[in-house]
Amino acid sequence: MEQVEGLWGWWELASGPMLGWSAAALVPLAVHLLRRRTYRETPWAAMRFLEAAMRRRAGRMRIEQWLLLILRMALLALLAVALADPRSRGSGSTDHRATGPKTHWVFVIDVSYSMAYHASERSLLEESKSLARDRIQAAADGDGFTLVAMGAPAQTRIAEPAFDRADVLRELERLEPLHGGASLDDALDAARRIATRAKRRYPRLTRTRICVFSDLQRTTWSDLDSPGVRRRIDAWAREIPIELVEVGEPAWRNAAVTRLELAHSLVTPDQDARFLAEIRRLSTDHPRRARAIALVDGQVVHEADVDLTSGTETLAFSHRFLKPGDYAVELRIAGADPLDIDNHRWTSVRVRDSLRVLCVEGAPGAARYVAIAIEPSGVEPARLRCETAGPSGLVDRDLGPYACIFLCNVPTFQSEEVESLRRYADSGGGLVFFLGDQVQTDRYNELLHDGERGRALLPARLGSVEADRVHSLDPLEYRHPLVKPFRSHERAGLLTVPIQRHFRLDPTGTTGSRVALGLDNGEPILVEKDYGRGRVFLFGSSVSPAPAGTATADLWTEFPTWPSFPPIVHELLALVLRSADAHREVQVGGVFESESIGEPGAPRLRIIDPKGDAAWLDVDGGRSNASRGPAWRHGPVTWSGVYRVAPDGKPDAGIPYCANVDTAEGVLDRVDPAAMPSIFARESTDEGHGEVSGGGGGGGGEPRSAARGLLAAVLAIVLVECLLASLFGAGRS
Amino acid sequence: MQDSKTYFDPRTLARLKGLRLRARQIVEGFVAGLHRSPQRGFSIEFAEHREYAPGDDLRYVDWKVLGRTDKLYSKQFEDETNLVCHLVLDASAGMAYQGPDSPLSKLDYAKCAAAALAWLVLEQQDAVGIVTFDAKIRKVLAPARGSAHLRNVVRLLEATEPAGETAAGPVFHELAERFRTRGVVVLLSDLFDAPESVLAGLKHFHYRRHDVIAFHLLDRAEAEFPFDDPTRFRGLEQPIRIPVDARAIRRAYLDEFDRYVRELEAGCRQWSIDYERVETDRPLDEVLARYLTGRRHRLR
Repeated sequence: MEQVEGLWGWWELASGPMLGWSAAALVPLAVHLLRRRTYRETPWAAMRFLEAAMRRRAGRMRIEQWLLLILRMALLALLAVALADPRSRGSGSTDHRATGPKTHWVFVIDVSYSMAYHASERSLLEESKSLARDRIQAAADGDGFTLVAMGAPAQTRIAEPAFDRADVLRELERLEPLHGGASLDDALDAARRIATRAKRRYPRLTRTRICVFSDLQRTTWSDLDSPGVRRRIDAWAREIPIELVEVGEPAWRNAAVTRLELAHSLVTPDQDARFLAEIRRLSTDHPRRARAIALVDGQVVHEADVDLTSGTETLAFSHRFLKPGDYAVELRIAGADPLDIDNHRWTSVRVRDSLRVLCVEGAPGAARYVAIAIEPSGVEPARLRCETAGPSGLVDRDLGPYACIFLCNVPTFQSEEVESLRRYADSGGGLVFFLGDQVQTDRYNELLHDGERGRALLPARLGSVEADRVHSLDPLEYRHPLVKPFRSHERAGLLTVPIQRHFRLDPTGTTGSRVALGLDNGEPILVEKDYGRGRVFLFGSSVSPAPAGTATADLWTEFPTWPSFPPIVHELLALVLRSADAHREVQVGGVFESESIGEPGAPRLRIIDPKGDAAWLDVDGGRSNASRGPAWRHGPVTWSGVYRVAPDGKPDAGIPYCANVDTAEGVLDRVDPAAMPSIFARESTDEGHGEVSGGGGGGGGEPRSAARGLLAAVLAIVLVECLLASLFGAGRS
Repeated sequence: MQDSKTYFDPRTLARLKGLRLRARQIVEGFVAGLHRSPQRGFSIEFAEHREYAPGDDLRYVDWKVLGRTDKLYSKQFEDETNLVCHLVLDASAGMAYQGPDSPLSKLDYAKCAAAALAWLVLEQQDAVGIVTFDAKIRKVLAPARGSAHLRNVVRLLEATEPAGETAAGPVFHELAERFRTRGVVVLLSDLFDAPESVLAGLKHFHYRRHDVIAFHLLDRAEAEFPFDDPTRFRGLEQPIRIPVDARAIRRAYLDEFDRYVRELEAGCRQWSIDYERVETDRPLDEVLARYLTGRRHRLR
C-alpha cells in the first residue's frame, strides 16, 4: 500500500489507498435517500389524533433519523481513516524516527540446514531472527519490511513492504531451518526483484537496504565463485547496498550418517537382511565417538558405539523381518554434535516372499541356462520363481508382476511387444537381452534402438557377428557394480570365459550407455543403460545351449556353463531390483514418483510427511499403462525423514518413501569473510548490532499513530449508536 | 349491512330483560319500576294524538276524533310518559371502522345498541325516538311507544349507512333545540370531533334539562394503536392518506388520544353527563347490563 504524504500538515497516511473506503460513508445516506419504504395501507377513522401526533413527533423523528444517519456515516468514515493509518509527523520535535527518510528493509535469512547448528543455546537461525528483530524494532517509523527465506530455492515470505511490525515479527518467527541447502544467487535475485518493485510502487520508501543473515557456509556461498553470479551480484550491489550479517563461529563440530543401504537387493522373511551404514565425521577433530542406533519403523533393533577417530566408520547390522511388507529403516547417531538434522538417514525396504522372473526363449531351450542360474533345483524355498515362455510370450501378458525379463535369442519383436517392453522398463522393470543365432540384427536395431529418437531401448546398436577368434572377458577394472563382487576373486572364472562368437556392440551413439564388461580386444560385450525408472542390459553373445554336436568353433560362448555365470545373473537381478526400488529414496529437494500404490487405478493417494502433515494427490491417469498402472509425483520434498504413502481411505500406515539430506551442507566450513567481495557491507555479531549505518535506526519516541485513537472513536460511536437506536426505539414502543 | 335479526341478539335482550332505563330528572320518584306517572291527570297538558294501540287506556281515546274520522286516536299528554328516550346515532363514515380484532364496526355496534335500548324502552312502555347524523342531522324518528314502533326503529337502523364527516358538536346543538320534550338522550358515537365542540353540544342538552348518556364507541385499535410496521392510514371521512412509521408515532398518538378522552370525560363529569367508554370488542349485553345496573345504583 502506498503511503501518502502531506495530506494534512501534521499528518501522513501509512496506507493511503485505504482512505478510499471512506466513500462507504455515503452508503447510509444513499440508503436513506433512495430507500422506498413499503407501507401497508389501512383505513382509519381517528385521523385527528394521528395528525396531531404527526405534528408533534415529525420534527423530533427527523432529528433522530439524521442523528443516527450522521453517526453511521461518521462511523464508516472514521473506520476508513483508521485503516489508512494516519500518523503524526511530529509536533515540532526532532524525532528522526518519525521524520527521517523511509527505508525499505529486505531481510534475506539463510534457512539451509546448517543454520540449525546450535553454537550456543540458540541455533544460528534463532540468532539471525533475533538480530533481524532488533533491526525491525530499531527501524524508523514508516519503514517497510520484506522477507526472503534463503533456501534452495529461495522462498519469498513477505513480498510487499509491510509496515506493521507485529506482522513482520510474526512472519519472522515462523521461519525454521529447512533440510536442504540454500541458493545465494536465487535469494539475492528474489531480494532484488522485491526491492525494484517496491521502489516503483512505494516511492515514499526512498532508501533500500538488503540484509543477508547467514553462517557463510561454504556450500551456499560458493555461488560467488561463479563469475556469472559474481558479476550479477556486483551489478545489484551498485544499486542497493547489501549488508551481510554473519552468525556463528568458525569453530564447529559435526558428524553425519552419510550412507545407509541394504547389502543385498532381495529381502525375504526367511533370512537376515544386512545393512551397511557409513558415519562420517565432517569436522576436523570432533566428535570422536557417537552412539549409532538402528530403528525399523521406529523400533530400536540395533545399537552400537562408533569410533570416529579415523573420520569415517562403516557399520554393518542385520535384522530379520518377520513378514513381507514395506519397512522404514533408520540409522541415527546420538549425542555426537550440535547439528541434528544430518544425524539421521532412512532407507525403505521391501520384503518379498519371492520374486518372479520371466524368460522368453527365441528357440526352444534358449533360456535353459538362465533359468537354472536363477532357480537352481533343490533350493527350498524358492526365493526366485522363473517362468519360461516362447517367442510370443510377451503378447497379452501382464508384465507388471515380473521383477526382470530375460530375452534369450529372441529373433524379433512385434511393435506392440516393443511398446509393452518400453512401458515395462519405464515403470521400473529390468530387461536383459541375450543374443544368439536367431537374432535379426536389422529388426533389433530398427525396433529397439533406432525407432524412437533419443529413447533407444537397447543400450547399444548391434553390428555384425564376429567369430574371428576366441576372446576372453575384460572386467574393466571391476568398476561396474555388476562385476564389482568379482574384484579380488580373479579365480572365480570370470576372466577365463571363452567368447567364440559375438555381435559387435556400438554404444557410442546411445545416450546413457555404460559398458559393464568388455572383451580382451577392447570391444564391449555387456552394456547397460537406465530406461525410465528401469534398467536394460545387453549381452553381445548367446547364452543358449548349442545343439548337440556343434563344433567348438561354431559355439557362441561357454559362458552359461561357467561358474561365474550364475553370480552374474544374480547380480543383474540385484541391479534391476535396486533400480526398481531406487525411487523410494530421494534427497531433500527431490521428487517422489511411482506407479500406483495398492490397487492399480486408486484415484487418490494420502501422503503423510515426516512432520505428520497429510497431503492428498490425484493419481495421474495420463501415465497409466497396461503394466504398472497410473503414476504420481510428490515434491520437491522439503523435510528429511519418512513419507508414508497410502491409497486414500486405507487405514494402513502406507509404503515408506525416504528423503535424506545432502550431507555436504553439514560441512560447516565458512568462506573467508575477508575474501568476500566488497559489495557486502559486513557486520559480525561479535561487533554488536546496535546501529546499522544509514539504517534510520536510533533514538526517538514511539511513533504516534492515530489509528488506535480512531478505532477507539469508532467503538465509542458504535456504542452511542446502539444506545441511541435503542433509546429511540424504546420511545416508540 | 347488519341483518335486523342480529340487532336483537337473544343474549343481549335476555340480559336486558328485567333492567330499566330510568330517567334521572324528568319524573321525580319514578323509581319503583312504574311507567305511568303518579301525577296522571294533574296539570297535564295535551300534547298530541297518536293512533290507538291495543292496551291503551280507553279513558284517553279521543271520541271526537273517532266521530270525525272513524279512527281511534289516543290523546297524549306531556307528562303522561315518564320517559322519552332519544337515541342519537352517529352514522358518519368514521363509524364504519372495524379494527383487526373487532367483531363489528362501530356503526354496527351502535345499531345493535340502539336496537337493544329501543326494545328496552318500549318494553317498559316508554317512548323512544331515534336520530341519525353525520355532519348534520340525517334522519329523525319521533319518539313513540308501542311495540309497532320498534319496527320503525329497526327499519331506520337498517337503512342507515355510514357516510359523511362528523360534526357532532353542531348537531348536538341542533338536537338540543329540537328535543322539546325533556327526556333521556342516548348518544351512540365515536365523538371524533373537536372536544370543545362536542362538550358545548352536550352542555346544551344539559341546559335543556335532558338526561344525557354518552356511549363513546371506540374500536380497540383506535384506543391502543397496535401497529408496528410502516403504515399508510387512509382517512374514512377525509380523502387523505398519512404514511407513518407506526412504531415511531405510537406514543404520540396515544398521548393525543388519551388527552382527548380525558378532556371529554372531565367535561361530561362537569355537566353530569353519563360518559361510558365502550370498546366495540366488548359484548354488548355486558356493556349495557353493566351500565344500566350501575345507573340504577347511582340513582337510588
